[in-house]
Amino acid sequence: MQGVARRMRVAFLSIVMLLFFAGATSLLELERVSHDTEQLLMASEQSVEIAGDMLSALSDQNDAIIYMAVVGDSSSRYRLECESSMSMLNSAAQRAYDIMASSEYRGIADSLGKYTRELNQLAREWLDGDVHRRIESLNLNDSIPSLLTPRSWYVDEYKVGYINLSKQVSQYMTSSQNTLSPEVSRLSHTARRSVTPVFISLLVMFVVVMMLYFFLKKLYVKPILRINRSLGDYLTYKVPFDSNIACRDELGELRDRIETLISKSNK
Amino acid sequence: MRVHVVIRYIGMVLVFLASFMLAAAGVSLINNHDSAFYPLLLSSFLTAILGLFPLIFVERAEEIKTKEGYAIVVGSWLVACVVGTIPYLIWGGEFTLVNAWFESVSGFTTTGASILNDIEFLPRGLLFWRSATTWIGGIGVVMFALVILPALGRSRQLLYNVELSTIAKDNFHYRSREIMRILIFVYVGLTLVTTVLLKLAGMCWFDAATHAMSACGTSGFSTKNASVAFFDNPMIELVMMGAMTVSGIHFGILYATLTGRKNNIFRSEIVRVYIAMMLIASIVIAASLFSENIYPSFIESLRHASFQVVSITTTSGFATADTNLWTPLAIILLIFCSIICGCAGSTSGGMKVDRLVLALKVIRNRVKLQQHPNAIITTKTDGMVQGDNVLSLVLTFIVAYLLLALLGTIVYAMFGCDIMTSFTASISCISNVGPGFGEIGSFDNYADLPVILRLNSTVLMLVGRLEIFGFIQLFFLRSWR
Repeated sequence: MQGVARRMRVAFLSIVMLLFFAGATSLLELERVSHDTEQLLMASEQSVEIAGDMLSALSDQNDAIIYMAVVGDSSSRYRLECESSMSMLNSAAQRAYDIMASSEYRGIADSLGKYTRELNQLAREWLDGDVHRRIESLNLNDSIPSLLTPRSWYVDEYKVGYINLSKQVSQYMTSSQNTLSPEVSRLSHTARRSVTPVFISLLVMFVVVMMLYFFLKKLYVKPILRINRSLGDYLTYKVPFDSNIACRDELGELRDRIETLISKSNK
Repeated sequence: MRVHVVIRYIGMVLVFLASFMLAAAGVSLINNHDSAFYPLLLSSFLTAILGLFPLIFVERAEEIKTKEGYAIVVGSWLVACVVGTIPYLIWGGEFTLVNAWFESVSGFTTTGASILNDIEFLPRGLLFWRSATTWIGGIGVVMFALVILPALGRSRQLLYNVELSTIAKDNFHYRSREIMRILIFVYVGLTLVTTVLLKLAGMCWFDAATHAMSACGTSGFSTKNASVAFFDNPMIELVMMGAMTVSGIHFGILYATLTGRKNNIFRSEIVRVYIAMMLIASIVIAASLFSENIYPSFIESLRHASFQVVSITTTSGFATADTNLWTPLAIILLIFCSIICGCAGSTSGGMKVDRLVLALKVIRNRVKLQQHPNAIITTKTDGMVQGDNVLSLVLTFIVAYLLLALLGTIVYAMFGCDIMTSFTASISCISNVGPGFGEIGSFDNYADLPVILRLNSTVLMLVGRLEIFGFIQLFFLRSWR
C-alpha cells in the first residue's frame, strides 16, 4: 500500500471497524444476558405463582372441609368451593411437574402430584358421601357406636393429607429456587463473557492507536520535519539538501521533487 | 534497531495466527455452531487487525539485521502467546486470565501442560485452536510467517539463524530455500500422514487431526481427559509413537532421508543414540514394571513403558498410564529422558541428544588428554569436527540448564510443592515436556498449583523454548551491537 491518504483511510477504518465489532459483540452478548435474565425471572415467577395457587387452593379446600365435616354445614357453597379447589390443586401440580420434569428435582414434583392426588381423593370421598357410608356401616355392624365420626375423619385422615401436601408445597418452593441457582451461575458466566470481548476489543484498539501514533511519528512527522529542516538549511546556509529519509510514498516523491527543483535552480 | 520493521514482521505472524483462528471458527461452525464460534471469529478479527495494521503502514525491508531478526523471533513468540489467550478469554469457562495465558504459552512452546480439569467440556472449535497453537509453535511461529511471504530475500536466512538452536544450525548444509522446503514438506507431510494413520487406527477425523498436530508439534495436548489412554488402542499408540519419534529427529536429516541423500537418519550418529536411548529406557522400564507386577505381562509392560518413554523423550507428554505409580527406577529413567529429550533441529525441547553426545565426547577426550598431554584430539559428530566454540557453548548450555532447573525447583518448593513435584515441574517446563511426577503426574495437571507457580511455569516454558540464552538476550537488547 503506497499512498499516504489510503493508509490513513485504512487505519481509521480499522479503528471504526474495531469499535463497531466491539459494540456489536457487546450488544449480542447483552441480548443473550437479557434473554437469560428474562427466562430466569419468568421461571422464578412461575414457580412462586404455582406454589401460591396451591397454597390458596389448599386453604380453600381445608376451609370447606372444616365447614362440612367439623361444623356440619353441608350447604352447596362449600361443596362447590371444594370441587373448584380440587381442580386448582390438580392443575397446579401438573404445571409444577411440567416445569420440573427435566430437572434433578423431578422427584419433588412427583411427590407433589402424589400427595395432591391423595388429598383430592379424601375430599372426593367426603363429597361422594363415602365417609358417611363408612360411618353408617360401622355403626350397623357393631353394637358399640363407632369411633369414626366426621370430625375424627377430618383430624385423623384429611388433616394428615393436608399437612403432607403443605410440606410438599413448601419443599417445592425451596427446590424450585435451587433449580434456578445453576441458571444464575450460568447467567453470571454469560455476563462475564459479555464484558470480556468489549474489554479485549478496547485493549486491541488501544494498541492499534498506539501503533498509529508511533507510525505517524516515525514515518510521517519525523521525515516531514527532516525535509523541512534540510530545506531550511539549504535556503539559509546553502548547505546541500539531504533529508536522508527512506520513503517510497508521497513523502519520497516530495523529497525527490525538492531535489530536482534544487538541481534545476542550481543550473 | 528499526522497531517498525520488527513490528511489521510480527504483524505477519499475527495475520497467520488469525487465519488459524478462522479455521478453528470453521471447525466450530461444522460442529453445530458450537459455543466457541463467536469467540474464535472475534479473536480472528481482532488478531487480523493487529497484524494488518503494521503491514499497511510499514514497507517491506530489503535487509534485516541480526538484532532485528532476534527481536522478530522472540517478539513473535511472546505476541503469539498473548494473542493466543484471546479465544480462551472470550470463551470463558475455566479460563481466567492466568489460566488462558498458561494454556496459550504451553501450546506455543509445545509444552502441552494444561490447567484444564475437564478438557472434554471444551467445544471442538476451541480444542482445534488449542491443538493448532502447538502445531504452529512446533516449528516456530516465525517460520510460518516467512512461508507466506512472497519474497523475503536475504532476511529469510537471518531470521532462520536466530530461530534454530546453535547445534541445529551447524548441522545444516542446505540453502535457505531448501530449509523452508524441508520444514514444509516434512512437517506438513508428517502431520497429514499421521492424521490418516490415526483415522485408520480407529480415531474420528477430528481426534485424528488434533492428535496428529499435537504429536508432530511434540506437545501432548489431547482432546480427552485421559489423554491417549482414553482410546486404549495399541494401533493408535503405535502410530502416535511413530509420529512422536520422527518429530524428535532433526528435520534436515529427515528431508535428506526422504530425498535419498547421504546424510540420512541411518548414518546419523545422533539419531542412533536417540533411538538407542529410547530403546534401552523402554526395555529397562518394562522389565522393572513387570518384575514389580505392575502389569500382568511383559508385553503389556513394554507397551506402556515404550509409549511413555517416547512421549517423554520427544517432549510430547501424552499418557497411557499413571507413571506416578511406577517403580523408582522407571521414574528416574523417565526424568533422565525428560532432561535429554530429542535431537536438535526438531520440534522437541530439552537439553537435546546432540549436546549429550558432545558432552560425553568432551569428557572422553579430557580423559585421553590427561593420558597423552601433547596429543591433538578433536571432537567429531557425524564426521564433522566441532570447534571449541561449539563445545564451549554446549557445556555452557548444560550448566545454564541445570542451574535454571535448580532455581525453578527452589521456586516451586518455596510455594509449598513437595520435592518430586518441584523438581519434575521445573525440568518438565524447561524441557517443554508437560507432565512430571507428584502433583503434576501424567494424568494430573497444573490446575492445583497456586497462581504464582502457574506464572512461574510459563516463564520456564518460554526460557526453555528460546534455548535459555535466547531468552536472556531479551534483557540486553540495548547493549547488543
